[in-house]
Amino acid sequence: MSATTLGAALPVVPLLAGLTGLLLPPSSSGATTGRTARRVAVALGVAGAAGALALAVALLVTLDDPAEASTTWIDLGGLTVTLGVRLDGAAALVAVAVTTVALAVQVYSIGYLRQGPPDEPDHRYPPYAAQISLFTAAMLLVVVSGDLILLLVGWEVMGICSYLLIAHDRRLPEAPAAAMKAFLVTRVGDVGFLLGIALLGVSAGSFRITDVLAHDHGTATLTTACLLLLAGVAGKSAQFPLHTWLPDAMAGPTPISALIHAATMVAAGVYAVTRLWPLFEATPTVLAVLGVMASVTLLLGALAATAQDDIKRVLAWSTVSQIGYMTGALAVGAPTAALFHLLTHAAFKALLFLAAGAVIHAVGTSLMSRMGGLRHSMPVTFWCTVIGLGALVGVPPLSGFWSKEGVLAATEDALLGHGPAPAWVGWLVLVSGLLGVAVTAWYATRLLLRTFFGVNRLPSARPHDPPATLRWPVLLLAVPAALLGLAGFAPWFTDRLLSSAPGELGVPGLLHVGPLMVLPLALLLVGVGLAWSRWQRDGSVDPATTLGPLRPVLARAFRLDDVQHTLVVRPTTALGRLARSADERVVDGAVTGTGRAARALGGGLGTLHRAALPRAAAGVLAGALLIGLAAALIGVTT
Amino acid sequence: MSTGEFLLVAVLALPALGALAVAAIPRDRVARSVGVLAAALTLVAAVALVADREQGWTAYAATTPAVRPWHSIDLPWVPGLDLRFHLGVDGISWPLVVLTALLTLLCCAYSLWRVPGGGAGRALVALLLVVEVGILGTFLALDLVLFFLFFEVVLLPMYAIIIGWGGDGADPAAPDARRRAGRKFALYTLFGSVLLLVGVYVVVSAAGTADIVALTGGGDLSRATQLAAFTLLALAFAVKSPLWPLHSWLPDAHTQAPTVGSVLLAGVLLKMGTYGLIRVAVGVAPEGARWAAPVLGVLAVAAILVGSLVCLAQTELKRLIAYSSVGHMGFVLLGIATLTATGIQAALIGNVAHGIITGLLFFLAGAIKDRTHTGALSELSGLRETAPRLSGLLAFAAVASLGLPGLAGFWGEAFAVVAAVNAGGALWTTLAVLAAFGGALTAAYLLRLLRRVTHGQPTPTVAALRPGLAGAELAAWAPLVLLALAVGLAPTLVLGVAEAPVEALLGVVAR
Amino acid sequence: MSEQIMWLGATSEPSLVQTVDHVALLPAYLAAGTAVLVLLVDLLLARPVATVATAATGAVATTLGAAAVGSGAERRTFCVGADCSYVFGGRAALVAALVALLVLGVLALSGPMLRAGNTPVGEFCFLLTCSMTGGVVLAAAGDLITLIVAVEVLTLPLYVLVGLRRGSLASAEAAVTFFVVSVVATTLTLLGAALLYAATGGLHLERLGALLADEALPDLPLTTVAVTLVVAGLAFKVAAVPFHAWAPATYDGAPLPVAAYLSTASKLGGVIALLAVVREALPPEVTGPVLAVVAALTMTVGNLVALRQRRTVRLLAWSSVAQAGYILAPLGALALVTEADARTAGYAAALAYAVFFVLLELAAFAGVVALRPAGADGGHLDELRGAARRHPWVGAGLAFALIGLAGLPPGLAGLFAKVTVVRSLVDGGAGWLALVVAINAVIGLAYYLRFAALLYAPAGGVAAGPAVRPARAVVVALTVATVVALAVGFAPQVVLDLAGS
Repeated sequence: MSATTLGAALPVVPLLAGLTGLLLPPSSSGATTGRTARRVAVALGVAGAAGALALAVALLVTLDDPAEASTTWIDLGGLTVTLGVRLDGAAALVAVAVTTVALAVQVYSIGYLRQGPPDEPDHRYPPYAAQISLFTAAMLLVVVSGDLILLLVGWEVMGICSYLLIAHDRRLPEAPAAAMKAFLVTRVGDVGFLLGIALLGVSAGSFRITDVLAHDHGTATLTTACLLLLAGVAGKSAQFPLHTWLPDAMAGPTPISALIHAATMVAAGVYAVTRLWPLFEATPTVLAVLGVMASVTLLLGALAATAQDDIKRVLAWSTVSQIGYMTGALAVGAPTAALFHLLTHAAFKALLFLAAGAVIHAVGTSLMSRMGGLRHSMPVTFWCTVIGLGALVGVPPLSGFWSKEGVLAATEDALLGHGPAPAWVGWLVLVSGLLGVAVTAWYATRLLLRTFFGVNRLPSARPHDPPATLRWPVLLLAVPAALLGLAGFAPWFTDRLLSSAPGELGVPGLLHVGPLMVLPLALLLVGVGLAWSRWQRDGSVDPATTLGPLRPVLARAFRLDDVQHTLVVRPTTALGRLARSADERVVDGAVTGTGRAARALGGGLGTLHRAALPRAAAGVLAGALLIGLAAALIGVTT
Repeated sequence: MSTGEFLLVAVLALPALGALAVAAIPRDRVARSVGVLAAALTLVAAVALVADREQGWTAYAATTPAVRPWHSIDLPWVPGLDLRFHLGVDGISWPLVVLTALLTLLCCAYSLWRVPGGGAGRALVALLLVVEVGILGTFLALDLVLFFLFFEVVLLPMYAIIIGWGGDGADPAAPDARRRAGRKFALYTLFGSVLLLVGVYVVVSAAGTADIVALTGGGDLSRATQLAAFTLLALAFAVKSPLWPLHSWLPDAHTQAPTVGSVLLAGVLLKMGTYGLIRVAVGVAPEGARWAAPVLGVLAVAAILVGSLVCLAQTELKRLIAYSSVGHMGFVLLGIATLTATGIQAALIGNVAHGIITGLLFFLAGAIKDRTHTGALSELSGLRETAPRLSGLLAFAAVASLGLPGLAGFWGEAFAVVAAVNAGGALWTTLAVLAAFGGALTAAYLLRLLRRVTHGQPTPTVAALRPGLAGAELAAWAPLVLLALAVGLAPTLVLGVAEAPVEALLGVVAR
Repeated sequence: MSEQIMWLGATSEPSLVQTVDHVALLPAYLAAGTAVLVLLVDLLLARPVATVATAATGAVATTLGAAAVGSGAERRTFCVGADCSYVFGGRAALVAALVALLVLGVLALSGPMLRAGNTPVGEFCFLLTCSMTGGVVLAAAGDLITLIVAVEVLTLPLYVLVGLRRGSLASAEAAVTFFVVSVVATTLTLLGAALLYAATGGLHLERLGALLADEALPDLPLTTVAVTLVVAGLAFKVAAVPFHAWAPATYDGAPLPVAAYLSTASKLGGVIALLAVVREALPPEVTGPVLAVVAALTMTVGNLVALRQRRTVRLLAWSSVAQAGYILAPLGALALVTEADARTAGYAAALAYAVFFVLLELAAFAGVVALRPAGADGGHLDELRGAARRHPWVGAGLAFALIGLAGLPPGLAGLFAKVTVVRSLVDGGAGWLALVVAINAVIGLAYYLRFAALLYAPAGGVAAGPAVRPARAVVVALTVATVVALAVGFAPQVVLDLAGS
C-alpha cells in the first residue's frame, strides 16, 4: 500500500467505526440488548482505534519522503477545493501519538464508564464510544489533510465531538453549560480561522495547502490571513484570551479530558501552524503577536494551576500553560521544537489524566482536599503519576525535560536575531518560559503531595489500584512519557520530525546539551523546594495557602471568565433580547399596524357611507359638480 | 413527444392528477395512499429528468442563450398575455425540483401515518400535492408569466394547510393564532407576488417577450427598465425568501403550521424566492442586480445577524427554528448578492441544504410537540434521558444547521463568506466578517436550543415520554439525515450539474 | 353646425329613407319579443312555471340569436351617411349573449324565491326580460341617445325589481334610494349629452370621436364639462366612487337574485356604455385622468370598506364596487397612449375583465343563494359559518368564485383578469396605477379569504342556520357558472379575442 493510501485510510477507519457505533441503540436500561450493544460498542471503538494505530505505525515506517495526493472535491466558481492528503514525517508521528492515546482511552473507558448514575450501568456507552471514534477520525483528518477546507472539516468535527463528550455525564449539572462554552469559545476563534482560510484560498485560487504555500501572497494579505488564523489557533489550543473554555471542559469524563483536552485536540492549533509554517515564517508581526499570546498564556495557565483544588483543573491549567510553551516555540521560529513538545506532552499529559482518573475512580471525588495518602494504597498509580509529573516539570531524563529544553534553546536563536521573529519576542518567551518552569514545579509538587502523601482525608473510602482496563493504558503511557525525550537522540526520529520544515534555519537538531540547561534545572529545584518546604512545616495545610490573598484570584484565573461574561456574553444576550423585541414591535408591528390601519380606514369610510338618502344624494351631486369643475379646469389649462 | 418533454409534463401532471384523485376518493386511507403513490411517482419522474440530458456546455459561445435547459417544452397558451406553456429544467433548477419532490413525498408518507387534528387526512394530502404542483411549476417555468402563475398557485393551499391543520388543538387560543398567522402569510406573500406581477409585465412590455431564455442577460432592456424591474422583482422575491426586514410573516406561519406544512414551507417554499432571484431577477435585469447588489448584501447580512440574535432570545421551539430560517436564507442571499460564480453556487447548495436540514428540524420539532403538546423551551428539558433517539436526531439536525463542515449546511454558509471575501472591497469584506460572526451566533443559539431541550433533568412532561420512534417517522427522517450527510460529503451531487449553467448565467450577468 | 341641422331637419337628404337591417336587429327583437310573450303567457296561462319557462326560452333564443348574428360580419343599421345608430359586431354579440345568459342565470337563482310565493312571478319575469332588451340594444348602440335610452331600459325595470320583496322595509328603502340616485345620474348624462351636442353638433359616437379629435373643439371648457358629465353619469351605473353610495344599500335591500342581476348584468351594461363613449366618442386626454383617478378611488374605497362588512351581500356589494375600479383602470391609462393598438388593448382589457368578473360574481351569488334558505336575504356572514362542511360541493363552488374574485389560483379566470388589467396598465405606461391595482388585490384578498375561510370554519358557537337543501336550479346555475369560469380560466384567449374584436 502506498503512503498516500495509508494516509487516506487513516481517518476512514475510525470514521466507519464511529458511524456504525452511532447506529447502535443508545439506551435500554438493564436489558440484554443494552449489554450486547455495549459489547459491540466496545469492540467497535477499540477496533477503530487499534486499526488506526496500526495504519499510523505503518505510515511512519513506510514514509520516507513527504508525499501528497489529491483529487478535486468541488470547484466553486474557480476556487478549487480538493480532497487530499499531505504526508510528512511529522504528520505520521502526530498520527501515531493521536492513535496511541485514542486506543488507550478507548480501553480505559471500558472500565471507567462501567458505572453510570448510582448503581446502574451507563446507558449511553455506544454513542460515547462512537463519538470518541469520530473524534479520532476528525483529528487524524486534520493531521493528514492536504487541503485547508478539509482541514477545517476535521477541525470543526473535533469541536463538535468535544462538545458532545463534555456533556456526556448526566450527573453533572454544569456539564451542558461547559460543553456549550467550549464549543462557542472555539467557534468564535473559528470565525477568524474561516476568514483566514477564505482569504488565503481566494488569494491562491485554491484551498490546497501546497497551492496556498506556493502562491505569492501580498504582505498585507498574508499578515491579515495569518492573524485571522491565529484566532482559530487560539480558540482550539486554548490560548489567551480564548482559553477560558478548557478548565470548564473538565466536566467531561476523565478519559475524554485525557484524549481531547490534553493530548490531541488542544494541540491541533499548534499543529496547524506548523503545517502552514512557511506563511507564518514570512510574517514577523504575526509571530510577535503569537509570542505575546504564548507568554501570557504560559504564565497565566501555570499561575492558575497553583490555586486549584480540583485535580483535573490543575491538569487543565497545566495544559494551557504547556501549550503556551509550544506556541512560544512557534513564535520564536522553531516549529520542530513545538512539535517535539507536542508529542511528549501528549504522552505525559494523557498519562497524568488517566492516572488522575484512576484516583478519582478510587476515591469518588476529584477534589484534592479530600484525598491524601494514596501512595500506599495505589502504588501503581502513584509511580505513574510521579513519572508524568516529572516529565511535566522537566526532570531529566524524562521526556518533558528534553522537549522543554528544546523550546528554551530555540529562543536563543531568536535572541541572536537568527530567527524570523524579532529579538524581543525571544526574550519574552525565554523569561516567561523560565518563570513557568519554577511555577510548574511548584504546582506539580503540590499536586503530588496533596494527593499521594500525608494522611487520607476521606477515611470512609477504601482506595485501591484500578482494574486492568484502567491500569494497562496508564502503564503503557508511562513508557513514552518517560522515554520519548530520548528518541531525540535517534536520527530517524529527528529526521522525520524535521522533514515537516525543511527550510527551517538555526535549529540543527532537536536536543541541546549545554550550559543553558542549568538555569531551568535550578528554577525547577526552587519550585519543588518551595512547595516541599511549606508541606514539611505542616502536612495538613495546602501549600497554596502561601499564595495568600492572591489565592482566590488565581483560583479563578484572574477572573477572566467574569470579564468574558461581562464583555461578551451579557451584551450578546441583551442584544438578542433587544433584537427580538425590536423585531416583534417595530418590524412586525409595522406590518400588523398596516393591517390595522387599513381596517380602521375601512371602518371610517364605512361610517361615512351610512348617511340618509337626502344627504347621500346631495353628496353625490356635489361630487359630480366638483369633478365637472376639475375637468373644466383641466380643459382650460391644457 | 420526446422522453424529456414527457417527463417535464409528468412532473407537473402526476401531482396534479394525484391531488384530484385524492380529493375524489372518499375512503380516507385509500386516498392518502394514492397521494403517496402520486408523490412517489413524481419523485421518480423528477429524478429521471437528469437522465439523457443535452450536454455540450463546453461549447458555450456568445451566440448561444445563457439558459440552456436539458429538456424543454414550449406550447402557446394565452398569446394575448404573452403567456406560453414553456417548461424546462437545467442544473440550477433540477436539484430544487428533486428536493421538492422528495420533501413532498416524505410529507405525504408522514401524513399516511399521522394526520394533525383539524380536517380530513385526504384533504391535507391533496393540498400538499397542489402545493407541490405550484412549487415544481415555479422551478420549471421558463416563461415569466407562467412563472408568476405557478408562484401564485402555492399561496392558498398553503394558507388552507395552516389554518386547517395548524396550531395545537390543546391551546384554546390556537384557532385565533393560526388564523392570524395564516392571514398574515397569505396577505404578505400575496403582496410580494403582486409586485412580481407588475415587475414581470414591466419586463414583458419593454421586451415584447416573456421567454426567460431569450430575456436572460437583460436583452435589450434599457437601464431604467432594468432598475425598475429589478426593484419590483427583488422585492417580490425578498418577501418570499424572506429577506429581513420583510420576513415577519415567516415566524408566525412556520410556528402555526402543522408539521408537514412547516416542512414544506421552510424546505422548499422559501426557495422559490431565492430561485426566482437567481433565475428571474438577476437573469433578466443584470444591470439592476449590479446596481442593487450592495443593498441586497447589507440586508442579507442584517438578516443573518438579526435572525441569529432573535433566535438567542426565543423561548419557543418552532419559532426558534423559524427564525433560524431568516438567518440561513440570509447566507443564501448574501451569496447571490455577490454576483460571483462562487456566491451563486454557494447560494444554490445553501438552498438545498437548508431545505434538507430545516425540513428535518421541523419534522423533529413537530414530533416533540406532538408528544409533549408544548413547544416552550422551559418545559422541555432532559429529552435525551427519556427519548435518546429523538434527542440524538435533534442534535444531529441542529449541528447540521449550524453549518458543521462535512454536513450539508457548511458549503452554503462558508462559501457565501468566501464569495464575499472574493468580491473584495471594504464593503464586501466587512459583510464577510459580519456574516462569519453570524455563523458563530448561529452556533450559539442552536447549542442553546440543545442545552435547553436535550440536556438537564427531565421535566414532568418529558419524563412521561416513551423512548420509541414510529417506523413512519424513521422512514420520513432517514432520507433527510442521509442527504444531509451525502450533500456535505459530496457537494457535487448538487453543484456538479449547476456549474455550467451558473457560469453561463454569470457570463451574461457580469458584463 | 348647419350640416347637422340639415339632417335633423330632414328636408333634403335622401338618407332619411333608411333600409333597416332586420337581421342586425334580430337579437333585440328576440329579447323584446320575449318580454311581450312573458306578459301574454302570464296573463293567459297564469301558471308560474310556464311564465318562467317562456322567459328562460326567450333568453336562450336571444343568446343564440346574438351568437348567430355576431358570428357573421359586422352589421350596421339606422345609418345616416357613415354614422350608424346601431352597430352589431362581434363585441356586441358577446355582450348581448352574456346579458341574456346572465338573465337566464338570474332566473335560475330566483327559483326558490319565486316558489316561496312572496313575489309576483309574471311581473318579475317581464321586468327582467325588459331589462334584458335594454342590455341587448345597449351592446349595439351607436349614438348617444340610443345608448342612454338603452341604459334606461336596462335600469328602469330594476327600480321595481329591487322593491319587489313585499312587506320588506329595507327593500322599499333600497328601491327609493336606487331610484333617486339613478334619476340624478341619468339627468347628468343627458345634460352632458345635450352639452356635447351643443358644442359639437354630433350625437353619433364615431362622429363625435372624429369631431372631438379635431384640434379646435376640446379647447372649449364646455366640451370638457360635457364629457365629464357623460362619464360621471355613466359612472353611477357601474357604481364607481364617488357615485357608488347607492350600491351597498340597494344590493342589500334587494332580493338576492336581483342583487345578483344588479351586480352582473346591470354593471356590465354600465361598463359597456362607458366603454362605448370612451372608446368611440370622448377625447382620452380628458377622460383618461378622470377615469384613472376614479378607478384608483373606486378600488381603494371599495376594498377598504369591504374589509369591515359583516353582512354577506354588503360585502359582495362593496367588493363589486372595488371590482368596478379594476374594470375602469385600463381606461385610465389611455390618456398616455397614442398608438391605436395599445388603446384597443386597453378597451379589450376592460371588457375582458368585466366578462371574467360577471362570471365569477354570478357564481358567488349563486353560491350564496344556494346556501341560504329560500327567499331569504343574504344575512350575516356568520350565518354561513361552516356551510361548506354541510354542503361540500356548493361550498367549494362559492369558495372557488370568491378566490377567483380575489384573483388567485385555482380561480384562474380571476387571475387572468387581474393579469390582463395589469398588463394593459404597464403597457400603457401607467405603472403607478398598476401598483395601486396590485396593492388593492392584497386588500381584496383579506376579505375574500375571510369569507372563504368562514365557509370551512367549524360551526361551533354561532347557531347554524336551518339546514336547507340547495334548490336544483340554483345548483345548476352555480355549476354552469363555475364550469364556464374554469373553462375560460384555462382558455382565457377566447375571451380576450372576443373582447378585442
